[in-house]
Amino acid sequence: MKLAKIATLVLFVVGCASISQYSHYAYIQAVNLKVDSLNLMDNGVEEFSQHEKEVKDLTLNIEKAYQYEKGRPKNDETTKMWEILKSPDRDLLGGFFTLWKKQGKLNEMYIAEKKKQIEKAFDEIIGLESGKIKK
Amino acid sequence: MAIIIDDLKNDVVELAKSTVQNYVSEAIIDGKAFIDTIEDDLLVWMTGYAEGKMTKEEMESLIRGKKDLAEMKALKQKGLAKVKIDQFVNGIIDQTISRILKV
Repeated sequence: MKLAKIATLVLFVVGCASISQYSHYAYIQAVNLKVDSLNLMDNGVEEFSQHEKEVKDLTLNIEKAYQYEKGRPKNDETTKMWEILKSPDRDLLGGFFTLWKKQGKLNEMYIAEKKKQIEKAFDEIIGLESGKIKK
Repeated sequence: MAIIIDDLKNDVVELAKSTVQNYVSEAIIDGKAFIDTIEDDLLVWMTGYAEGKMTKEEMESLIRGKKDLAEMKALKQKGLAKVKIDQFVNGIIDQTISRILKV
């Protein structure tokens, strides 16, 4: 009888969770993509065409991370954050690549300032993931 | 610089009146708070643009990037608030289970 009650409560807790639990895979993925992104951004002073393949590869990896987050139940906030970060029509990482392609090259000052923003953006994603409940 | 910031804050008031009539006061507070948060950066970026260290598009991208960052921060806070709720509920459940086991 006790066990049945406990099992019911456990199921209730699982069913009632309002946000996904911590995922170490998601955390590591975000940290790795942050490092890769900031590293690639340094090349913005050079012609976009020289780094197009690297941009495509990174964009693909970011898309994979986004799809993973999108597939996790009750993960709306993180999913939305990745959408903002990667969108070519907004002004974080996706927007950085859009402007790089459009201008051909970017100014050093812009790259330095935008890197601060991208670092903070990744830190918001990482901060939420690390704040989630661990199993 | 101070004049530009004041002008921006006035623009926020006008923009709020014309675009979000039902939420004017909240929009004005949020808009002015946003200007306050970008004030220091704006000075650096405007100086850089004036000195030819940045293009107009680059400066605009930095300003809009601040808005995107603010949105991300709000999403993180919303997510962390949900975590707190889950922790609270889990605490109640743990307490309930230990009470059941004592019976």
